[in-house]
Amino acid sequence: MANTFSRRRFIGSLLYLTALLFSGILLFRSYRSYRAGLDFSTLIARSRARWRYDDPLDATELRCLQQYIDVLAPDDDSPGALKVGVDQRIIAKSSDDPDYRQTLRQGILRINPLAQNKFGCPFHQLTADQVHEIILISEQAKRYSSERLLFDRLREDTFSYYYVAPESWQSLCYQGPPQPVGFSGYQQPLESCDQS
Amino acid sequence: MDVIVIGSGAGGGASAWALSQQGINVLVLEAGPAYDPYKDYHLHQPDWELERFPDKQEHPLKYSFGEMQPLEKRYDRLRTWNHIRGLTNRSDTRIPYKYHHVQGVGGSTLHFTGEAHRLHPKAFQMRSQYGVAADWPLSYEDLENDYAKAERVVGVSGEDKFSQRPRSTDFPLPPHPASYASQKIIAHSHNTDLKWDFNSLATLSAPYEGRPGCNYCNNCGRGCPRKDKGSVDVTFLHKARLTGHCQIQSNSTVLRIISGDNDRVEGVEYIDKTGATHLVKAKVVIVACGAIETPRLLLLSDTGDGEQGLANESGLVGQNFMETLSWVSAGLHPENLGSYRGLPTDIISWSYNAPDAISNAIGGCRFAVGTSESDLAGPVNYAKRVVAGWGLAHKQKMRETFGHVLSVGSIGESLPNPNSFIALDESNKDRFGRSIAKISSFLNEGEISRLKFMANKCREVLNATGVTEIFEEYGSYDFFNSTHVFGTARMGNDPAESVVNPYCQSHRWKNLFIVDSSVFPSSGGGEAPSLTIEALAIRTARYIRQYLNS
Ligand SMILES: Cc1cc2nc3c(=O)[nH]c(=O)nc-3n(C[C@H](O)[C@H](O)[C@H](O)COP(=O)(O)OP(=O)(O)OC[C@H]3O[C@@H](n4cnc5c(N)ncnc54)[C@H](O)[C@@H]3O)c2cc1C
Ligand code: SF4
Repeated sequence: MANTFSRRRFIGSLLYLTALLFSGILLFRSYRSYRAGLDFSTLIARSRARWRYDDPLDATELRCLQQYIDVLAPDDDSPGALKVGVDQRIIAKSSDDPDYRQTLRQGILRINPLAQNKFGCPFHQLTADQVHEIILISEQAKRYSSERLLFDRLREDTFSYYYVAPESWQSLCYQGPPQPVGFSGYQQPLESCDQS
Repeated sequence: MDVIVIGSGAGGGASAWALSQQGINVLVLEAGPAYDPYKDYHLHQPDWELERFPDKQEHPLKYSFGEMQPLEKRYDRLRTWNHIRGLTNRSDTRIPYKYHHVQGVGGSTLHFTGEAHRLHPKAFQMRSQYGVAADWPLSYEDLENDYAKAERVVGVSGEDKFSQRPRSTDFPLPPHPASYASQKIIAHSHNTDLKWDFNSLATLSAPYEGRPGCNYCNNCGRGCPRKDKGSVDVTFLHKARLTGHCQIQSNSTVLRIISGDNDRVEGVEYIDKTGATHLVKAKVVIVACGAIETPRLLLLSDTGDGEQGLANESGLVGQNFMETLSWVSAGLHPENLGSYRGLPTDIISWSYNAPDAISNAIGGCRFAVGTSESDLAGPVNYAKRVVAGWGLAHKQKMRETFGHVLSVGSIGESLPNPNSFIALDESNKDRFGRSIAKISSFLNEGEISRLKFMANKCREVLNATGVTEIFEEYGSYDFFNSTHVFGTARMGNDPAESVVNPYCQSHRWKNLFIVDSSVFPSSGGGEAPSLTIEALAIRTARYIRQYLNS
């Protein structure tokens, strides 16, 4: 009897201590995140994404990305980012690099509730104008929040992959790449696209 | 083997040529791989802009940094910033960013811009004339002939109007005409006190010795796929091979120099690509690993009598480290200059290059066009760094802006101080288990004053040229970011004050020579160092021949 009691008390104390430890860790992490300027929603997004670290992006996440990229560099007189395959390069990068994929996923987990709150539907169902508004909010969010990191990453990579596509150069009058022909008219002003 | 040369950059490559063309047998051991300019450089590919120099493999040799100095509010105007990203360094301490270099056959010249400068004659006497750094144990006149030889091997294009460097011969090739963007700067130079020269460049303004002329693609830093940029692989090393007396072994990292009797070194131990180690003996060993790796290799080698650190009798190996003091301001010109075309740094101003030219700080500086060197010569960087925002408005603004960037940069004298040095980092090892080099860097008041002067002048030049909006500036104040490094095995006459003598020979180890920018007693007022290293190598090779014959 005495043995059972003390074992029960031992297990109880162990559970209690474990709970204490976990809340301590949680508190410490929250404090650290607070110091780093992260808000609660970002923390939630991060812990949800953590469980799916190894999973590839799912169809809805891919759709979100495409919506986002399309608004960052849309079609006009020249083809937009989707037409030149920017989304495919970003998706390929996310398949190779789990940390990159995590940044994208955490951001998507944040912009979904933003879309829901503002427009009453998830991000992938928004119109281009609505996506525009959510991107604006993300751009202005705190520097290390998940939605801001998503914005920074996607702006950087969309432009990198978009402006390496020769289709994007025509409207800039840029006749790159630098080689093999170089820029023989380099001493003269640029009068028309033909001379660049 | 007569001579082992460790490292194949400016110093090693020029040494290999200068020795082998005298019939001396040379083995060059190079830690990095060989590059084929036709295959390994990517300027003809659409995504050329996504990487800078295309390193073929991770560098086998690494480095770390010591503690960095705190930043001060009063120098906030010297912080690195961009109008989209804000401050690049948000901390209150200087950030150790990078020692830019390449490990490969040709060394850092594979990546270099190709500026081919002689030092200002007054820069050789910094201690006796200005009370700073140390005097060179030789003069400009002592080096003049070898400068001319190096220029001929490389194929330097240039013209000297204002640089105040007496010449015995013309440049091998005429100067490159200035780009349209640079012509704008020259045209408005009456608004400032700077005079502009065509820069002297190791890039060909006309075909030369089987190499074609430049086609003005403006991207020398990414590796020239035409071989017209005079990096050491296509000039000195190519010619050295043709002599039949030079063998170049890539992917071969020297682990230590082996000391022997009678104050002589016996040879080296190196590890090859397969991981096998070898011992090679030679009558002479030349160390040319660059100003970070040279002191490291010396400190990792021992004297054979229990002392760690070869050629370190003065205790100066690794001391007197000098870095690149630089500043760049970039803005938008109202006209579409097509500034992505031409040659990087095609014009240069030497107006403040003399050591006493800046009124409140000893040490000179120079100014040059910097659009390509700041990597603002392609649409990707415009989209990320020049044009703010995104969406349709961003695309439209790209069309209005592309080609308008004008950037002016300055490099200034870096003077030695006790807090700037290279040491072994005992707690960090490379993949061969040896301590890596630890870079400690400190900018003193003099450097910061010079930097302020440089920054203000860059802004002044841009404004004078019609730039109303500066969108990005960066410099050495809040980042360690060096392409030119010097001083860590200083040359001099006094064995107590220097590591090598005027012929780059160790004061104690008679068959050990150091031929790279480690030996510079002072850094010069912003001159690019390769040509001086190459001239020193040619001079030293003559001396080595006498040594071998004696
Ligand atoms: C982006 C950039 C632009 C530049 N622009 C210019 C310019 O326009 N003009 C100019 O004059 N200079 C320029 N420089 C600087 C110039 O490239 C260097 O000053 C010059 O190459 C230094 O020559 P070096 O022989 O001292 O060293 P490096 O050229 O760096 O060569 C050292 C070589 O030694 C090898 N090595 C090191 N340790 C070992 C070892 N233990 N065993 C075997 N091999 C070893 C390295 O792999 C390397 O290949 C530039 C540099 C950079 C990075
Ligand atoms: S600008 Fe000239 S030297 Fe430089 S990479 Fe292009 S072709 Fe070569």
